[in-house]
Amino acid sequence: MAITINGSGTVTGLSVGGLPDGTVDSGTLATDSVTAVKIPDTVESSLKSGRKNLIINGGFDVWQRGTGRVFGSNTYTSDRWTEGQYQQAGHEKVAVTDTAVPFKSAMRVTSSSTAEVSSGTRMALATMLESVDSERYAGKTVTLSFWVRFSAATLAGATTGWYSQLSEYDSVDPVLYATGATRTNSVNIPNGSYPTTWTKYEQTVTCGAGMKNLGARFLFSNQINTTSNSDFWYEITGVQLEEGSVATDFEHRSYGEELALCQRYFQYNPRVLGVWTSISAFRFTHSFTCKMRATPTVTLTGLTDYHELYNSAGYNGLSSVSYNQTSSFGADIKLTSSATSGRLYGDPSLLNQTALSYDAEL
Amino acid sequence: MYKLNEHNSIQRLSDNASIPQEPQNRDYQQFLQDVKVNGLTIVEGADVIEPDYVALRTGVDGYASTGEQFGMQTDGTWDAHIADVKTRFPKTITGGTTIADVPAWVQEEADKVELQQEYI
Repeated sequence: MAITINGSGTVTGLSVGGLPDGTVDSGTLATDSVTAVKIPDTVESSLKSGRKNLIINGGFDVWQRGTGRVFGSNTYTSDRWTEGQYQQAGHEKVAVTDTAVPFKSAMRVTSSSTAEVSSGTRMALATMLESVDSERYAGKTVTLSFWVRFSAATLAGATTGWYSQLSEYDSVDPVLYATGATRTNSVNIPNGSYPTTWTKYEQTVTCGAGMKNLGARFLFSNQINTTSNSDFWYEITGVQLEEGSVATDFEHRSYGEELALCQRYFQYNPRVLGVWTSISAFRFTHSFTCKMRATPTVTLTGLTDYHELYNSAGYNGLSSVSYNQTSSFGADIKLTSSATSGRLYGDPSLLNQTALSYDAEL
Repeated sequence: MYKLNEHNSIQRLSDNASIPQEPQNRDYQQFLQDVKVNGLTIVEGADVIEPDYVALRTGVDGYASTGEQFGMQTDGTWDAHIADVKTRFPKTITGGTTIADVPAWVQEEADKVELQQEYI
């Protein structure tokens, strides 16, 4: 068919594919020559908007428990992130200085000299969504993306590579990285090819129809023990999990928003007024910042400077949580002091902020 | 090692954390796992406290609160109040602490859980 341009400027006869790839670009089209009403509904409905990142604290900006290096297994370090069960590793916050990377913070995962149960460590980093945020993606395709770099291209002992992993669970909020999950490994960076500059990767998975929980994890595929702690490391940031098969740009949320999301799983007490119920114990209640995922574990976070009485100088020596009727909505706790305070039943007490932590992580 | 506290909350002795009886709490899940693997020998029952005279004198039936004391010192009843408390709770009450048995629910709940194996 011949291409015709009639007297009023209408072009006809152009076949499908008649304009080869690359022949229509930003220079060909005048500014605003394509308006929003000309974007087909089928395309517009696939555009992503708002709250696309299912991962909380994927930019590693929130560290309520502290930013220093912590070695452990199954302990949470950066909010919502843990080594995972049995996997020894050091976790710490580092600054991202590469201006080409759109992040300010990252998680550094360091090697450990401590063996895990099966005499090694995979230097894991893991997080898991709870069921109420996972189930809607059953049967759908999701894409995990992240930025990572390593301390060297070749790491002694890390012989079989490093990979990302998406895990699916068919039970509601199981123990983190419990048995019985369906796990899909991907990315698989071989030893010798570990990038030493920030590099973005992605992994796409179609979830099973019965999926109830989604988790993401990063780790070496073989067990490693280094002579001393921190002999080598990898750093990771910009972790995003979103619906669809395309990794879009990272969804940056404000620090306040991200902190609020994290506090569903971990928070400290505010400054709170209580009442002495005996010479060595006082009781108090307060609401949580938000309803927590589950009734939390309560832990004394230090052994000094815990509470004050009338005197502004403070009074130290709380030793245990001796009574705990806490719910997911708020705390109802009696604290016992190892020292005799001399206070009487009914006297007021004042508990300093951050004396207690509340943990409802998965 | 664990110890039961008032209202059946569970104290983890390694860090003094207080764990609620909450099926969705990961520390409670771990507690049940540990009991299933190691048995009840890792759990101590709650303290049963017989209060001594100090606790009784400073407790709910003892000395008036600090605020009430100001009024007593004004109206002249303070000395009589002190004497009354000391009479009701003499120093011969020395109190003591015993350990209760671990209640049956601990083993019953541990028996229900599925053991989690090491994940590779």
